[in-house]
Amino acid sequence: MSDIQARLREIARRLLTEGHVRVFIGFGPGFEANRPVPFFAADPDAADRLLLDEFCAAGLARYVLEEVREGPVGLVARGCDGLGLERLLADHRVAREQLYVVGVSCRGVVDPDRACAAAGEEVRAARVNGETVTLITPTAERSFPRSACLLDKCLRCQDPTPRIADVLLGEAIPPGERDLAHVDAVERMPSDERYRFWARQFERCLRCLACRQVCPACNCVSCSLDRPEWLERGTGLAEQFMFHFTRAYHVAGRCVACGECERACPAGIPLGLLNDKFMKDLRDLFGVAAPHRPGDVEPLGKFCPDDPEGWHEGGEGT
Amino acid sequence: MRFLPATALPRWLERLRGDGATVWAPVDEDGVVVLRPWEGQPIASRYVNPLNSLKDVLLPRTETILEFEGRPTDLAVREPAPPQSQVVFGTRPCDAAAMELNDRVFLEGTFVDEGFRRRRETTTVLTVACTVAGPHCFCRAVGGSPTAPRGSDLVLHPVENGYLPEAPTSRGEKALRAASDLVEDVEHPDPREAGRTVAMPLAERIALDGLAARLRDHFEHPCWDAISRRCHSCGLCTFVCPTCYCFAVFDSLRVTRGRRQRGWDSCQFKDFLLMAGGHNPRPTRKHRVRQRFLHKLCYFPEAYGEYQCVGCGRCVAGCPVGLHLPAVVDELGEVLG
Repeated sequence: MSDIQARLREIARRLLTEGHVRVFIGFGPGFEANRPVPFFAADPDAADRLLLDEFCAAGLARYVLEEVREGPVGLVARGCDGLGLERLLADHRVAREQLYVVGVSCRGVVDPDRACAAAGEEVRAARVNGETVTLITPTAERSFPRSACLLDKCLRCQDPTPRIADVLLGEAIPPGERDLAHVDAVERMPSDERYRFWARQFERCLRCLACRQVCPACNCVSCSLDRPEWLERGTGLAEQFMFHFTRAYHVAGRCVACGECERACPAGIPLGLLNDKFMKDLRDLFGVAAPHRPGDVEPLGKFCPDDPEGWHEGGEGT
Repeated sequence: MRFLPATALPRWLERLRGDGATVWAPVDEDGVVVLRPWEGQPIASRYVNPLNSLKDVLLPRTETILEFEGRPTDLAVREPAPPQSQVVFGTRPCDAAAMELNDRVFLEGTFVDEGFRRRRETTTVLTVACTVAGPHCFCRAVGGSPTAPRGSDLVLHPVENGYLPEAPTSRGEKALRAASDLVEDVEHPDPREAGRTVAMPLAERIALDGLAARLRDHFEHPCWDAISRRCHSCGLCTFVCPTCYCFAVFDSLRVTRGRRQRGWDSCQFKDFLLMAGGHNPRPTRKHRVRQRFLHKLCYFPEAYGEYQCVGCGRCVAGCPVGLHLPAVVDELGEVLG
């Protein structure tokens, strides 16, 4: 990826020098070499600190919400970032002309903890090639299956290349069909068992709101989950169910499957599984793409005048 | 020296439970190790720290302060039942030390927090000392050690096939008495020494000397803009932190009955300081992130003479964008010297 990294720096430097963007968002060195962090290059020289490797884990789309307030923003986008940006565009939270998108194709991001467990020591570098991942440690270079090395969110991803790049570095990889078969296991559970499964997951929730704060679909200016009239502040099981179901329903049909919620969750709650269940239902009931392609019809987000159930002004009863 | 065989552990905990105490222990739940009320399920053995710290036991995510019933002119108010005695098994030395830091806030000085005090006084902390440090651990950089007894009632030093118990408090000694017939006498060198040789690479990368004063002098340093820029303003770091203790008070009401509760709140939430009338003293990420780190690294040391961090590493492991205490100390070191 080093050739692409060099071209990325060159483009970011040019955009900043010529004043096309006020800031360029990418990745920069983190505290640990195999954990780069989101980085904001605000002047041409800072562009030389941008890096792009197999450990760049965080989603970047969400940052443009804040950053565009001060002027146009450039950023590097993988497939997931691109769909996140499309989400923000479709929701009219940012305008296309405020963004300059440098697209790159992503074959999956290596989870340094998972890779360390697989390789038996700290992983310095990695190469993702097709079905295997080569991990380079201080003493060896060995290949492992993707599932032993990559972030969960990347294992089911079928969108390696962003659709809205202004310039694409490297080759485009066509999108695939998202495999939602893992939802079957939960669907097959008897309802009591399924209730216990989700109760156990949600009981762990600390309500830190990381899932919401990293989500490009959770881009509302103010959130009903912050309002005590919608959700009481307690963390009893009733409130935990209310929180998680509300979150899931509010992104149902809008979730782009970037997987950031699940990656961010400190409690290991399988939020991706919950999102995928909704995605599967929406696909099977309404025939929409999974994950949702922002701009396509939103079965739960749009009212059609010819809706067979009509529109109940003011609702019925109380 | 006393020795408790590992095979005797469930029997001992069962006896403590039989005495009417809620026993907490780390259990593996879908691959996540969590402190849970223990009812005989397998106790997790391979973990660095559970997801939830002792804070979850002593300063619960939500607790009822009082209950009320009636109309505004005719309101009956009652306090909830006093807390039951609790025993926490398997906490780590860092989490135990964290509770002593919280003691200073809740129990020292003119105001004593009664809710915290009552829980603290009815809780016995049975710590299991660490024989390895996780990749995110840095207790040694903040004055701790993998075998330190601070904050523990009993420290169980793991050795082959069991533990060497050390009881710094009479509460710990009392808990151990329930195992008097299970404990054997053995010859063994001081197990605390083992803590000195545990490798902890992260601790060696953190330099805190003189940081509090430098931070005080550079309150308006532009580095806070750069450091905070990647923060998503979630509360993950504060909620997993065993030393963060901020809470909010709120009511829940069902027609004529209700409860006043308190629950965790986070200085990283954008409405944390939002006041009636709309004023927000910390309106931006910069204000909030700076507050978190100055509290831990400057204000707390000024008030109590020690950093408000025990190096448990949960923020390191958890922050989705790498904005954790070691990273911030490192970035501050680069700009403040």
